[in-house]
Amino acid sequence: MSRAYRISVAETLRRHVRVEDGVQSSLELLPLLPAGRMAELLCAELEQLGFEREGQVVRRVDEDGTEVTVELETGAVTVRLASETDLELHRKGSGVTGDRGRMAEATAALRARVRQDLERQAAAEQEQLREQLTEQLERKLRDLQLELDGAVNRATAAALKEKAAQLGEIEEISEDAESGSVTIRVRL
Amino acid sequence: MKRVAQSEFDLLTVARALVGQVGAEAVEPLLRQPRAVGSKLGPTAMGLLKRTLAKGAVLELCRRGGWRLAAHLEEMEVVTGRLWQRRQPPELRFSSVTVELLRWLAASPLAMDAECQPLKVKGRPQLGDELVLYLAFDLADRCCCCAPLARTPLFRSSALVWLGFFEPLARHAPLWIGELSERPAGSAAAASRAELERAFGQLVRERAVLLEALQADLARRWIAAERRKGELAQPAQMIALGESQRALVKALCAVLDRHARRDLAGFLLEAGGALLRHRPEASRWVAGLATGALAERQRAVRAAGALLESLGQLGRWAEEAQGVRFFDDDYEASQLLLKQWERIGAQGMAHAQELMQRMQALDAAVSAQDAAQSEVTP
Repeated sequence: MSRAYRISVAETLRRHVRVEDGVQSSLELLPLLPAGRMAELLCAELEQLGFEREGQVVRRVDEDGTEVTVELETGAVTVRLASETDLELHRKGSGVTGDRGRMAEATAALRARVRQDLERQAAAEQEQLREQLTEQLERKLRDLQLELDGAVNRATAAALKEKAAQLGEIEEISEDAESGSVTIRVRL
Repeated sequence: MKRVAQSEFDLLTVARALVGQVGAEAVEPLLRQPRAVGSKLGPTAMGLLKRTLAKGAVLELCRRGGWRLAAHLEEMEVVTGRLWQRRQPPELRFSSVTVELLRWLAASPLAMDAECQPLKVKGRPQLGDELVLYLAFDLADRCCCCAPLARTPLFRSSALVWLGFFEPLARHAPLWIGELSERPAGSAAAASRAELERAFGQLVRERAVLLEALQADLARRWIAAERRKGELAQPAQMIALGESQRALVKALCAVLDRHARRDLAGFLLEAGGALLRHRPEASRWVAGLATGALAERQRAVRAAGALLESLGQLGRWAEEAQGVRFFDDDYEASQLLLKQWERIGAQGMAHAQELMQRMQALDAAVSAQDAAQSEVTP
């Protein structure tokens, strides 16, 4: 008469996972003044927005962890958000074998299956974390684009004023905050 | 009546379908199912094949655009007329490559990619073979079974096939810069952009007649491919497609420039003009992209604008042409370019630049997702 032997295994997977997402773009600054001066004007505007200068790069880390970096020479913008967490997953598995002599083999096979399941679950959790991170970044990007566009516009307006002052005597400056247009009258 | 074996008849039917003598639907079962095809062709079948190709290839070349009254450059002179009026009739040579290809097409179950034996040919494709490769890919594409062709080195090493069918080729794998070189596979490290340009160089120098005749056909394919981009959901697919397009256009433009044949980029202008005519939104290109990490989606959105990006190069050529004065040597050639450029024009170019700007913005990938959602929501 054959007997069935029940086997049970329990596995735990502990893993530190880090997910990251980000985008890159560039700010288009009109070359109204020499590149170095345009970079200075842009830097001044970005500093008003809370960026901190580190050499030729300005950086800001927001409360939610979003890191925005602008390279002043090239205008390259990098927005990055990273998150990390410790996963601890537990899983139990059980099976039946009819051969007592092959219990060890059956247990190893069951353990491997449980580990595979745990790996899959960890991958799914990591992907879920990445999706949350991406959603968070998506919500942020639109406002950030507007914020950076505003900084570029103000830097361009400042450059225009400097350029106009170089050309002659500025008689009148009128600015429309809504449309962002600047009109400068210069006596040559 | 001439008699041939059944397998020879199948091969001849495929040949006739390539040159438009029978419809694609007539050969679809032939292409999709495996068939036994003999290793040799009898003299009667060979005679019929020669006749089919001799008459059919020329006619097909004319049908696909050679009949159109067009202006092209010949030794820096502008020649106008239909293909056969503009230049001496080209000698279309067909080598064993064509015969082996036809045998493979008739024998392989193209609908069952995994079961297709690899196509092995000896020698380099001649002018006629290159046209047959193009027509064969088109036929398989129309029969929705071009996947085995897309992974076959013979097709992947043809500059003309890449120009016409970059979409299914890139779906299999993006354009590897060494694919159009003569080096054997596996020498990736030694491959370079120069080799890609060499393959295009041969097409432009020795096979320009094909490019001239197929301008309208190529334009049609580029328009269709651009319109299908909006259906792509996977960023990786879009990246492969866009990067292949970018590499193709870059290599083609470099070669056309070197050989003073900028007129042969007319199909890109025709495609660009048709796409930009109604001032489409950027979402038309990227409406399907809604999944994946933002970094990857952003790369995909940028890749979607590969053709629009290439118009910048053609715009610079137009600017150069505008600067040529009427007493300069290349005045006529410049006027021809400017006439071609009218399909895009300043307004079209401005719109293309606006689209590119949107596709390169920080929130471009988010806008793409919004567009995808608005397509789903009534």
